[in-house]
Amino acid sequence: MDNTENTLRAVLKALTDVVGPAIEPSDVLAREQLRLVTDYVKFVQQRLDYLEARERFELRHGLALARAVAAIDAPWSQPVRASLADAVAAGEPLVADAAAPVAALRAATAALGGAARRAVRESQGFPAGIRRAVELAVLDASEPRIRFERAWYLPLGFDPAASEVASLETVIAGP
Amino acid sequence: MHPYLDEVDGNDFTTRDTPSPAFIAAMSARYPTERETDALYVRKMQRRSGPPYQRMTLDELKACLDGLLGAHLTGAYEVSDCGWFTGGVSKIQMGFTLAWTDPVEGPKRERLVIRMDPNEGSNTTSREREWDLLRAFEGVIPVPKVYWIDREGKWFPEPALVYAFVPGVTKPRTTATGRVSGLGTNFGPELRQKLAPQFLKHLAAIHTFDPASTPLPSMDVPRPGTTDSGLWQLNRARRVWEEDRGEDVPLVEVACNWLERNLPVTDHVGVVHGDFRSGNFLFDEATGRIDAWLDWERGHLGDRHRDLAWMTDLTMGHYGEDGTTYYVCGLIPQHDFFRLYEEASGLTIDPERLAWYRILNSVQILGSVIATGYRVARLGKSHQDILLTRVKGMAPTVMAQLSRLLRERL
Repeated sequence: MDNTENTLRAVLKALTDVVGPAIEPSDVLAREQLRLVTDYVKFVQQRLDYLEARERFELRHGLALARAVAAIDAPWSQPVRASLADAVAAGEPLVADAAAPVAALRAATAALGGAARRAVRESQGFPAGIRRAVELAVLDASEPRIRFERAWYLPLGFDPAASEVASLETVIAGP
Repeated sequence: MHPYLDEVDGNDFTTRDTPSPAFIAAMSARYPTERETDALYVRKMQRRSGPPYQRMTLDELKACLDGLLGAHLTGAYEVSDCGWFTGGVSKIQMGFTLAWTDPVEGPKRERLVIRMDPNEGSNTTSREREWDLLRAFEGVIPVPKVYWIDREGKWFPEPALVYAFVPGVTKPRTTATGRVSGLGTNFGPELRQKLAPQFLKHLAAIHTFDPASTPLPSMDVPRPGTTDSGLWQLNRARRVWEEDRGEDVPLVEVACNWLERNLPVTDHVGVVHGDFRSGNFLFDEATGRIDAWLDWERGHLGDRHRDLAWMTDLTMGHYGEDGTTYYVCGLIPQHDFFRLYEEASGLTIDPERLAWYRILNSVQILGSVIATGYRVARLGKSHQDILLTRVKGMAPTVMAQLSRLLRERL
């Protein structure tokens, strides 16, 4: 059984009970850093069980976005067309592969993101209608990613409309 | 079209940890911007593969200060009461008391602040530019009196500035509001009434300041009636995105495409503060008087809509007690803000340019919180790495706003 979450509890206790009181009261910078560290450890505690699911979400998101862009009838250059096709072909089998290592998931996601980036940049030179289709496809495909990221980072307290944020369990199953 | 360079155009972002001369040159060529900005970014990238930031002790920083003071003061002096300041995300700050003889004012005992860059911070900005602007606005609006600058890191490990400490607060001591750097602070109705007119008056004074009236050698002057101003700022943001990020975000690429296609023409070239908002002014809580405007490091000569879009961003203010009135920077109802600004400054507001700068600002913020925060923390380059990673939590809110803005205009 993995005990990382238990260890994080111990980390927090050590920081709070031992390290905190040992900091000179005048060292305001150190006190501020300690607060930020303990806060982030608590965030990691809440997200620990979802870390691999996050990698898989990002891969599915990258695939959906790249497929949407590649599906547009546009005058892609051969390198961009190949880059999209190769990235999709490399990513697809990993989605169903429960044993795929995290490093492989990340590499596939990075390749999909790179292919999409090159496509969007190339589309700047396309006729307006085609370019618009490419850009709207990116916007549409980005929506699930935005919903997911809002849920993921909600505990950090930055979201001005926290009540609108969907639960992580709901959005992590998409897109 | 620039030639394909795998280090720039490929998928491996680890190469940004140790950028090659070809990569650095490609950034300058692809994204031309102001000379000072270009020099800062080249310096940043040339030094990136160097060691991480090591925390200095107060004694070590004081020794650097002694070097600077020894070079500038002829008589005896005494430095005492050194202490760290918090609150600054991007700069290392130490307060101290200096007893010395000012050649003009005679013997003085004054509380001062050292403001120094880390090896790499949340933004790469110019102490020289901050120096120029603080001197230019002395006597125009409340700013700390600036004393000395270490432009090249001659006495300090990095460029640094020494200016007067100004007592005051950035938010009411009793409020629980105000996120990182004072964003979204709720001042409450009474302080709001006192602070809002000063906020507008100072903003108008900056935007109507004649840049030709004082030397501003660290700044290039965009040509009015051209797209220079927008292009330089866009290229600056794109360069940060390109040099620092560790992942692709195609939404940002769409935004950059749109910004490039729709560069706005600037009618009036003036001083842009760059970070004019709540959290960046100090006020006396008892009287409600603003005593200093800080953080001029993103200042430049350009289009006022950059500032206006920045301070009216939804992350900078909050909704009031009635739940429906949105207060710009927690101070001025949004429905009144632009009219009051036009009355105070005599300058008009162009909604299209405002929208362009809103999108640019979103890209800039995403560059800071997704790209720079990641890279700086990965390489351990600053005194606030943990905070720089935390602010990635702002990214989805900004992405949602960016997506909405783009959808309205595509």
